[in-house]
Formats: sequence, C-alpha cells, structure tokens
Amino acid sequence: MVTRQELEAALLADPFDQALRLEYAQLLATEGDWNASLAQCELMLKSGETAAGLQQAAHCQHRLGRDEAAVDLYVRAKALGDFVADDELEELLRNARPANRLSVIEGDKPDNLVSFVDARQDKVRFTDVAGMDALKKTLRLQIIEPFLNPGLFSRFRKQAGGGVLLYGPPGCGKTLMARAIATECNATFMSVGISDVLNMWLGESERNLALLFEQARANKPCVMFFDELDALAYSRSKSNSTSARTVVNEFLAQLDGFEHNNAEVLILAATNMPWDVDSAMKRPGRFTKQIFVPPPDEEARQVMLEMKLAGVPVGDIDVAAIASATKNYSGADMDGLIDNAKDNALSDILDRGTERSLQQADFVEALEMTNPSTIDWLKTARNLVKYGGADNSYKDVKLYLKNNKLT
Amino acid sequence: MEYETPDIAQDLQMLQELAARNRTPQMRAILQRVMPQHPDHHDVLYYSAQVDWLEDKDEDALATVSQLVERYPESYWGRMLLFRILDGLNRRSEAETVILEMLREYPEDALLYGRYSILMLESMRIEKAGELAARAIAIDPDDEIALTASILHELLADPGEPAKQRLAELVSRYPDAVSTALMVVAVLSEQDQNKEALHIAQEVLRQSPDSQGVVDLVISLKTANHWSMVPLRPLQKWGWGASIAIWFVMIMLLRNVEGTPIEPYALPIIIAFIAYAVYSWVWPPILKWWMRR
Amino acid sequence: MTDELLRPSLESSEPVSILSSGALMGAAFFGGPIAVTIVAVMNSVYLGRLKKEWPMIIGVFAVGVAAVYLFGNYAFDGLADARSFRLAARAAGFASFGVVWLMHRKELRALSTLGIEPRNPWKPVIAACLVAMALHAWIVMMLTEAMTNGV
Repeated sequence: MVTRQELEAALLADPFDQALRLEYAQLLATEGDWNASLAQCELMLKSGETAAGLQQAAHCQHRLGRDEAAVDLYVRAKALGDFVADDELEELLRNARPANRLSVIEGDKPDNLVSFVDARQDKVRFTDVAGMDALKKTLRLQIIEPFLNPGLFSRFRKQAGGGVLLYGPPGCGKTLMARAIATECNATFMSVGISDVLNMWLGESERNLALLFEQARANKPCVMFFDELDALAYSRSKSNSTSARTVVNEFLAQLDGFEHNNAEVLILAATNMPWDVDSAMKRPGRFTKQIFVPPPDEEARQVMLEMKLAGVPVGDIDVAAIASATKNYSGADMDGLIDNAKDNALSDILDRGTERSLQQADFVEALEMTNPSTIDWLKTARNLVKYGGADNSYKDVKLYLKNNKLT
Repeated sequence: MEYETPDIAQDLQMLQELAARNRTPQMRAILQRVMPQHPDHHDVLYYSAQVDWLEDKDEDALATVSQLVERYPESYWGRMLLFRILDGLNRRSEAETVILEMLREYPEDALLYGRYSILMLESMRIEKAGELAARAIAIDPDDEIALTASILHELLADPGEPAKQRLAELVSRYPDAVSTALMVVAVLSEQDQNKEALHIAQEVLRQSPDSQGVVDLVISLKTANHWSMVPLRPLQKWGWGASIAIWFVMIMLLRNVEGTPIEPYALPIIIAFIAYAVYSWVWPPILKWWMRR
Repeated sequence: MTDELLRPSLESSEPVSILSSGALMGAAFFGGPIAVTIVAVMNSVYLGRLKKEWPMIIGVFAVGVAAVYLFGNYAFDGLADARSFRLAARAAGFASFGVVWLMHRKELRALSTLGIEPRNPWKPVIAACLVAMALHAWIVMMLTEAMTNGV
C-alpha cells in the first residue's frame, strides 16, 4: 500500500503524471479529505478530462454536498470512452433527473399538467374551428371516420390507420385541428413536443420515444400528436448528428411496429417544414397521409374577427371587407392586425382626450402595418411545387397556390 | 417554447441537439436564459455565434465569434466558425489568415486543407487549390471536405474519369448527404448528362426548397433540358468548338456556292444561320427568365 | 512544398474574377486575334499571372497577326479584298481564342462550375474590338498601299 508521503514525493518528481495524481486524489478521499481530493482532481482535469478523473471529482462534490455539480461531472464522464458506471453516482443521477413527464403544449405556452388530456373533456371540437369546411371534410373522411368505423372502411377495401401529417405555414391552426380531431375521435390526447423526446442524457432520447409509444398503447383509444415533427424526425441526410439519426431510426421502428400492434391509436403529427422531415417517415406504413392546413379562408377570417371583437367597443366596421383584404393571413396575423387596430384607436383616444370605438380606419391603418407571415412559407412551397419535379405529395399546396394566384 | 434543464451541461447538450436539427428559435430561447449566467463560457459563445450564422445574420455572428476567439484563442471550432463566417462575407484574405494559423497548429488536419482548398477555388487560385486538395486526400482519403475539394478541382482541371472516380469514393462514404448529391449534379452537368443531373437536383430541392442556390441550379438545368433548347444541343455538348465549326462550315459553303444547285438558296441559308446565332444568344436567358417567373 | 502551400495568396478580399469565355469569343469574332490578345492580357492581370503568361500571350498575338496575313494571302484571294481580310481575322481570332481558352480553361470553367460571377464584359470587349478594328484598318491600308506600290 503506497503512503501519502510516497505519492507526494512521486508527484513532486513528476507533476504531470495524471495516473499518479488520480491515485493521490483517491487516497485523500479515503482519508476523508474531500476538499484536497477535489483540488487534485481539478488540477488533473486542467490537463485533460478522463472519465476516472471526472468521476472522482463527482464523488468529491457529492460528499461536499454539491450534488448539482456532481451530476454535471458524472454526465461529462459518461460521454467519454473510458467510462465505467459507478453505483453511487448512478443513484445520484436517477434522483436528480427531472421526471419523465409529458407536457401538453399549446403554441408558446408550456403547460406542465398531467400527462394526458382526456379529449372527452376537452372543449375543442370542429365546430369551434372557424371556417375551413373543405379541410374539415377531408379530415373527417381521411382520419376521423376510419378511426371510428374501421369495419366500414375495410368493407370498402379502404385502408384505415397509419400516421397523418398535418403541414402548412406557422400559426394556421394545425395543433388546434389535432386537438379537435382527438375530440371528434373521442380519444385521449397525448401531445409530444421535442423537449419530451430529446433528453439531456445521452442515449436516452430513443428510450423516451419508445416509452411514449408504450404509454399510448396502454391508453387506447388514444390520439398521439407529435408537434414539430421536423425537429423530432429531422432528415438524416441533412444532419451530422449521430443522435439525430438514432432518434429517427427509433421513430421509424416504433411506427413500423405500431401497425401490427393496434388499431386504436391514431398518430398525428404537425410540421411547418415538411421538407425537413426525413423522407422515410412519409413512406407506406408511416405518415402516409399528408394533409395541407392552409391559412384560414375568408369565412374563417371573418368569424375570427367577429369572435375577437366581441366585447370590444366597435363602430361601423365592414368585417367582410377586412376579411377580404387579409388574404393569406394566419390566425396569429389576424391577432396582430386586431392588436394594431386597437393600438391605433387607443393612440387616437389618448391624443384627442375623447373616447371612441374601434373604426374601419383603424383597421385600414393597421393593414398597412401588418404583413402576412405566411408569405415566406408559401414562397418556399412554390419553389417545391414549381421546380421540385413530378411528385404528388404537395398537390394540395399546388392547388392552393393556383387558386390564390401565387404560382 | 421553454426547455427547463437544471444546469449548463444539459443546456449545452440540448443546444447541440437543436443545432444538429437547425432549430434556431429554440436555441435562442435557451441562449437567452443561459447567456446572462455564463457570458464567457466557450460553448455558450460558440452556439450564440452559430445560431446567428445559421440564420444568415453573418455580421452578428462575426461579432460573437470574434469575442469567442479573443477569449479562447486556441479554440479549434471557434476559429473554424470564424473562418466560415469570413468566407461567407467574402472577406477571403482574413479567412485565409485564420485557416493558415490553424494549419500551422494542426499540419495533419485534412479538413483544414480541404476548406483551404475550397477557399482557393473560390478565389480562382486553381493550381494551389489542387495541391491543397491532394494534400488533404493524402492525409485522410475518407474526409468529406477533402473529397469534395478534390472533386471540384478535378472538374475544373479535367472533367472526365478522375472526377468520376473521386465522386464514386464520396458517394460510397457519404451516400445520403445533400452535399454528395450536389457534387453528383456538378459532375453530371459537366459531362453533359443534364437530364440525370436535373433529376437529382430536383430531389435535393424537395429537401431544401428554401435554398435559393438549389432553386437556381434546378432552373438552370430545367432550362438546359427544355424542348426548345434541342436545336442548341450541339452547342451545349461541344461548346465553343461547335460554334466555331458551324461558322466555318457556313463560310466555306457560302464562298463556294457559286454555280452549284444551292446558289438560289444562299440568302435563306444566310438568314437561317444568323437567326440560329441570334437564337443561341437570346433564347436561353429569355427561357431562364420565363422559368423563374 | 508544404511551406509554399502555407504562404498567403490573397493580398486583399477583393473578389477575384475574370472575363468569361463568352466575352473572349465576342472579342475573337468581332476583333480577331488582336482583341483576343487584349482580353487575354486583362484576364492574366486579374489572375496576377501576367509575369508568367506574357510570353505565351505575345506568341498568340504574333501568330494571330501572321495567320491573318497568311489566311488573307493564300486562302482568300489576297488581302486587297477587305471581306477576305475580315474572314481571315475572324478565323485567326478563333484560333487565338482556342489557345487562350486552353491557357485559362480551369479559371473559365470555374466561373460556371463554382457559380463565380464573371466580370462585366461590355466595356472591356467593346474597347478591345475597337482597338483591334482600328489596327486592322491600319494594317489593311498599309498592305494595300504596299501592294499598289508593288512592294
């Protein structure tokens, strides 16, 4: 057994011997001198990180009551090639990890509620979604009815099931539609965002994904909704990351395993960038149905205006004209327009000192300040449709662009 | 969208995952939280520069990465990012200074030689680019950038078998990379296989419809493959040599037409020749403009 | 070799580009070997290679002008025929184009393959052609005078 003095002498002679320094740090630790041991580890790590050095430092931090730092060091050790698991630190890691909780995410509002939302109690129905009758009809025929009446569809030799991908410009109600679909299907709604899958611990993302699918199967009938599918299943040909590739591979394996497993789980996904989704995801048996969710139509915009202006002091406003002038506006753009109009009115009120209602002129001025945010997306879609070659995947977009004279 | 991660290591891990997926809004959300707590952290500065670069905000990216390199002058990836940003801003002599400094520190790095080679190609220093590409391949024949630089150089020097061979190596090592597909398009175009090149370019466009470069490439290839370009096929295939040969044949024909049966047709032949010449100059740009509409 | 490779090559960040092969062809067609020579010199200067390439360019010029004379005399009924001279100049121009294209082929290919914007050709090519035409006119005048005087 080497003594402390012998090690100190050896280190004096060769201060850059890292193996020796590690041994010294471990000896100090066995003697209970955690601060000194930590100091040795920090010296060692300055020359280069090794799994053993990081683990020793993690032990010291843990003993000194700094568990967060200990976990950080242990995670770094795990990433290195020469890592060997340590029971005590694994236990610490398990206790420190945030619970693998699913969140229901609506737009920008993370809402850490219970894992599942019972869509039967959720109030969002198709009737709550303004306008968009053509889209609702498509969704009913292609998604809801096959889910509710699989027997009917199979008698007509029409394949039900498979995943459904909703795509379109941002802010046009894809998530809202997904929730409405879940309600119409009378199923539990399970919304999965990128943060639920991508885990800060290496190698856990695939495990998380598998767990999510298992939970969905255990809670039938269930609508499983993947928001931002392009982030989760990012095209492997565009990504340099190994973990991005393995997540896609796991996703594909789960989808392939799915159709054998059960008919009472509907997999929905939404994306603003369908071109970023790995092409294998769109092949038979996976997200075979791709449905374009366009910007709200004129009827929808009119209803939106009426709904959002309810309770607001309004004068003689031609809602139909405003709806007509807001072609290609998303739901968020309409909100922005109304806010700007309100700002105009309030600014005028404060200037004049007399209160008045919202007028048409406020909207006319607001229209000059607001531009539809969907235009960039539609321009990109136009490139795809016009130059991307004979491919029927985006025929709905092509039709929309043609009808709106955007080709 | 909030990503609640307890400490910096996890944030950095998440930033890395998000960068690999080009999720810049989410990266910004994390950086907004992390930056005030760790304003001098190497990786935080790096991702902060990277997110601006990914969003084409090159000047902002340059400011941040310069701060990073000043603070961590030995940072390999920081300097590599600085090089890429300077190149993107066409500040090529400064980019060259950065890469040369790195090469002096890492003289056996194929990636650095490959990147320097591409910089020399962009700056019309073709000979030097070739030597650098050869050096990169000698160090690491499997390096993607080294192979790309080599293919580009071969295409300029001799767009035949050498380029094809290098391309075969790139395809076998990186079969599904978008950059590989673009190299395939370049080689096929040089070898006048425009139909095949268009097919592959369209596949690339379906994955990257927001890339103006790819859109322009597809438009050029669609123009080259258009039915109205069929009369110009000899000029497409044999280039200026074909133009000169056609001119020579016409001149010889017209100078020796006297007394021959085609003498009455001399004037129509001259008009047809001039019309063909005008067509070859005027029609392709008009067609391209029309395609772009 | 390695030291040479690690020597800086770019003095400034000014984008490097040259006149395209289309510009060169325009010079050859309208201005003959003299215009081609002028454009070749311009491209050599832009590439920083004039010191290395000037002998070749002078050779192109000399051979081009000689070829005009030879073509004119032996192929086109003598240089007294201005049309023949023009044709001869054009043929010699094309031949010169071929030589210059070979000399700068990598850089000319780089313009299309790498998407490098070529330099605006109009002013340089028009200027080169005007100079060439003026020189041609002078040559024709001199040669016609020489023939008339029986030299």
